[in-house]
Formats: sequence, C-alpha cells, structure tokens
Amino acid sequence: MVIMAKNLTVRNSNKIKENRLFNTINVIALAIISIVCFIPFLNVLSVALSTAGNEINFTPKGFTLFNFQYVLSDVGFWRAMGVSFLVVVCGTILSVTVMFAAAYALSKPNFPARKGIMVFFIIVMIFSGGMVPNYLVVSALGLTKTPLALILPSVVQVYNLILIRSYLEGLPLELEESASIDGANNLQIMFKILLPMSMPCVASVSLFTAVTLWNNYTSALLYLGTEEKWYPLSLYILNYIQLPPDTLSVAMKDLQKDNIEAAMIVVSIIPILLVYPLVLKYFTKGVTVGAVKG
Amino acid sequence: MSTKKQKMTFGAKVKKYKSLIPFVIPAMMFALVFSYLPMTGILIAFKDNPNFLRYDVLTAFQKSEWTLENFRILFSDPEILSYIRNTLIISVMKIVILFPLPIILAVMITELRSKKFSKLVQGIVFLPHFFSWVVIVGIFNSIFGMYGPINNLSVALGGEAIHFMGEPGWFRWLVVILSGWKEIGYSSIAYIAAIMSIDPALYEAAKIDGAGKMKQIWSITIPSIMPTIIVMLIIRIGYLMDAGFEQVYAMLNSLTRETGEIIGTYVYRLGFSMGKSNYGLSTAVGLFNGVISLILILSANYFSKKKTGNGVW
Repeated sequence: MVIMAKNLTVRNSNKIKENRLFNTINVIALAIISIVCFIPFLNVLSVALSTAGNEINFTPKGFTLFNFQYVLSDVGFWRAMGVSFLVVVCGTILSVTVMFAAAYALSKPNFPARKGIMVFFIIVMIFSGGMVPNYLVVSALGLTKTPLALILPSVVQVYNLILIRSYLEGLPLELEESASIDGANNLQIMFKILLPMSMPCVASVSLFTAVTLWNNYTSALLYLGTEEKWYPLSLYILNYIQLPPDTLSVAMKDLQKDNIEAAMIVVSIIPILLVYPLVLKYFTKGVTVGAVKG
Repeated sequence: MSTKKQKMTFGAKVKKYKSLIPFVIPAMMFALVFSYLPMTGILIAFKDNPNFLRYDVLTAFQKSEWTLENFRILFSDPEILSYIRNTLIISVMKIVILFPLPIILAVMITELRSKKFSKLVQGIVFLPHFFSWVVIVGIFNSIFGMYGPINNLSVALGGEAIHFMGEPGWFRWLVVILSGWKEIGYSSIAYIAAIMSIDPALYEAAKIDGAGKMKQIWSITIPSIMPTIIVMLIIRIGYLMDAGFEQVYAMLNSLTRETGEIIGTYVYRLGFSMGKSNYGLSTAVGLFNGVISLILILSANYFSKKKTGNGVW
C-alpha cells in the first residue's frame, strides 16, 4: 500500500510538472499568436503617422499628423463615410424587421406551407442568377446609381431568418397567448412582446447585418457605376488603393499615397472598433447558438 | 378533389394563421424581386450578347439571337480554363493550409486557465474578421510594401526588395496569408463552442488514469469534436468554387492576373469593366460556376446530414 501510494505521488508530481510545462508553452504560444495578429494594425498605424518614403518597421518614422489631416479634410472621404452610415442604419433596420416578421410567422409549426417557404428562402441562400442578371434587375427597377441599390438587394438574409426563427421557437408561448386573449393583434405582439423578449438574438443579428453592410463593396461596385457621390467608404478606399501607380508621375507622390492610404484605413476602422465590445458580447453568442442548432 | 383531406388541413392552417400571412409577404417579395427574378436572367447565357447598354432589358433580350456559342467558348478558351484552374488552386490551398489551424487554436484557447487572458486572446484573434477586405488588403499593403517590414528585413539580410503585391508567383500565397489572418480566429468559435460542451467528467477520469495534457487532447478533445470538424470540412468543400470574390478583387492587379484571376473576378470583368461588355459570356461563366457550386453545396449538406445529423439547414 505504502509503495503504491508513493508511486502515485511520484507519478502525480511528474504529471503536474508536465501539465505546468504544457500550460506555460500554451500561454507563450498564444501570446505570440496574439502579437502576430495585432502587429499589422500597429504597422498600418505607424505608416499613417509617418512621413513619406520612410522604411517602417512597426513604429512611426518622421512622426507627422499630415496624413490624418489630409484624410480628415477630404470631403469625399466624409461623404463616403456618411453614405456608409446611412446604408448601415437603414439597411439593418429594414432587413432585421423584415426577417423578424417572416421568422415570427414561420416559427408557428402549423403555418401554411411552412416547409415550402423555408425551401423557397434556402434556394436564395445557395443559388444566384449571377452578376449580370442581378445588375439588370436592379437597373430595370431604376435603382442603379442610388443608395437604394446598396440596401434593397441585401434585405433578405436567410441565415438571420433561420437564427431568429429557432430563437422564437424556443420562447415560452404563455405571454403571447395571454396578450392575444387581451385583444392584442399580431403586430402589437411582435413589437411589444416578441421583439423585447428576443433582444439577445436581435442584437446579434443586427450587428451581423450592420457589419456585413459596412464591409460590403460588391453591391456598390456593381450597381453604382461612376456615381461616386454614393460610393460607400469601403469602395471609396478601394478606389484609392487601386489608383494605378502610373497616374502618379512623381515617385514621392506615390510614396505619400501609401501613408494617406494607411490613414484612411485607420480612420475607417474606428466605427468597427467602437462597436466591437458589443459585438464580442452578442455576436459570439449568436454564432454559437447557430452552430449548436445547425 | 381527390386530395380533399389534405386541402382541408391546409385550409385549416390558412384559417388559423391568416392574420400572420402578411408577416411573411415582405420577405418573400424581396426574395422574388432580387433573387428569383434575376434567376430568369440566366437565359442571357444562351443569347448572343444582348446590347443592354443600347436597349431596355426586354428589347435587348428579344433582339439578340439564341446561341450555344457562349458555352463553346467557356469550355474551349484556354484563358477561361486557366481562371477556373486558378479558382480551384486558391480554394484548395485555402482548405489544405487553413482548415486545421482554427481547430488547433480552439484547443489552445480552451486549455487556458486564466479567464481574463482567454478573453483577451479571443478579442484579438476574432477582430480581423470584422474588417472589410478593403481594409485587410490596405493593412497588408503596408506590411508587404516596398518599404514595409518584410522587405526591410529581406534587404537587411542582403536580399532584394520584392514588389509582393505585383508578383504572380506570390499572389496565391498572399491570398492564403491574408485569408488566414482574417478568418482563422473567427473560424475557431465553432470549435471552441464544441469543446466547451464536452462533459468535464471525461477529463476527470483521464486525469485519474494519469493521462497528461497532450494525451487528453488526443484521446478526448479531438474525438469529441470530430463531428463538428467533419461538418465544417464538408461545408467548406461545398464552397470550393468560391475562392473569395471580395478578397481577390481587392488584391488583384494587371500584374497578377495570370495566377490570380478567379471565376468571380473574371465574370465581373467580362460584364462590367472591359471596354466592351460581353453579357452573354459573363452570364454563361457565372451560370457554370453557380451550377457546380449548387451541386457541391447540396451534396455537402447531404453528406453532412447523413454522417452527423447536422447540416447547414
């Protein structure tokens, strides 16, 4: 008995040592990964704070605020940011409301043609007419060159519909039933009872939609053509990045472009950084809910 | 009349929920107009390049001849075939190199003892997912640029500065690196969730048996999340034909077209940005891509459901 106990403690202490080593290596490795993940941000910030023509290694050289001043005094940049905000706010409210309403109806197990309607939406998720047909429809509706082209084609978000529907299916029915006995109509039930009760889900879906709309530039690329006054921030910056180098004849100008580009990028990610704590709170939850419910 | 019974139950459903029917109508209208209506546009693939710039959609459609020429070009033009090849190479590189990494990251993160550190790491590695491809490409322009740290290092070591973003040989690797930086962290969420739901009793039992950390990971963690890994892999393969339009379009330039042009960017260029738009051919290439994707995604979902009971829908 004594020997066995002794063996066990030796084994235990070896195990503890091994686990401690594992944990140490793990912490160090993750610290390195986090730094590698973070360094590109630091670098772009440094370029934005540097004078042109310097070799930048993660820290500013020839510190200057000129690039930020340039970007912040660029009317086009502010207009593009305004368009992006407009599209994100209107697009998110419209899309989430429309998807929530549909999810409400489809969350009823006996809703007529429920399965068929779900298939109808899933087809949207997995097949598309393609760029040219999409463009022709938007164009025939007279939406090209207007910000509506950035909002209306993105209203249907099938994944959100599925997420909201499974959330609503999990809610207790009593409140809804007692409200309908009290004479509330479906619209009142949706806005006054279901929406407040689904806040965690609605918040994560809204953030999901807002981030998608903020980042998307394909719609603008396809539907806005040369109507630059409605370019959202993403496309505005992309156009700046893709300015052919040969249009900038002087080498110094070309170099300055990199620094201004970096400043644009830093300013443009500020809104995302501001909502990021919220995103972390809700978004990851929403994703895991989705992953579990499949 | 023979299906009277069924009709009645459907009728009963309609009667019961008729006040809810308007709630689903707006979503269906949007889907009809912006998704189903364009699907009829795939007929353009069978037309001899209708002139949409000159006439309105229907007139231009009627005025142009029916033809299979677009598909003949699609399957014989070496240029298009090389773009299909690029798409597949980039996709396969992304899967082979990037697919295992979120799994490893998830295991590492869930092994952390300190909650605070774990939160911090997650906060940092999830972040790039939320930036647009434009921002990511801009950020890496400054990393891989002529005066960026990579070139500075290579020059300091006696090498020559490379214009990475304009180098055909580097393009696909850069696509993989940028894609990895943006998505590895975020993709690990599904695995983190799966690992968190493993019964802790399994680990207790393993500890009593004297299993070390590595042993526990190999014989408990990995087997327990295998269903999630399989679903993720199958779904990922389902999206094989999608090499990432927004990413590649933002990275591509005239120097890297040869190795970097993918089906998506080519469809765009054909339809919208070449001097003379070829709508017929563009639609045909898009249709070809769409049909293959559809088959892949449907099979992926089928296998995923069959293997694990879980699909995307």
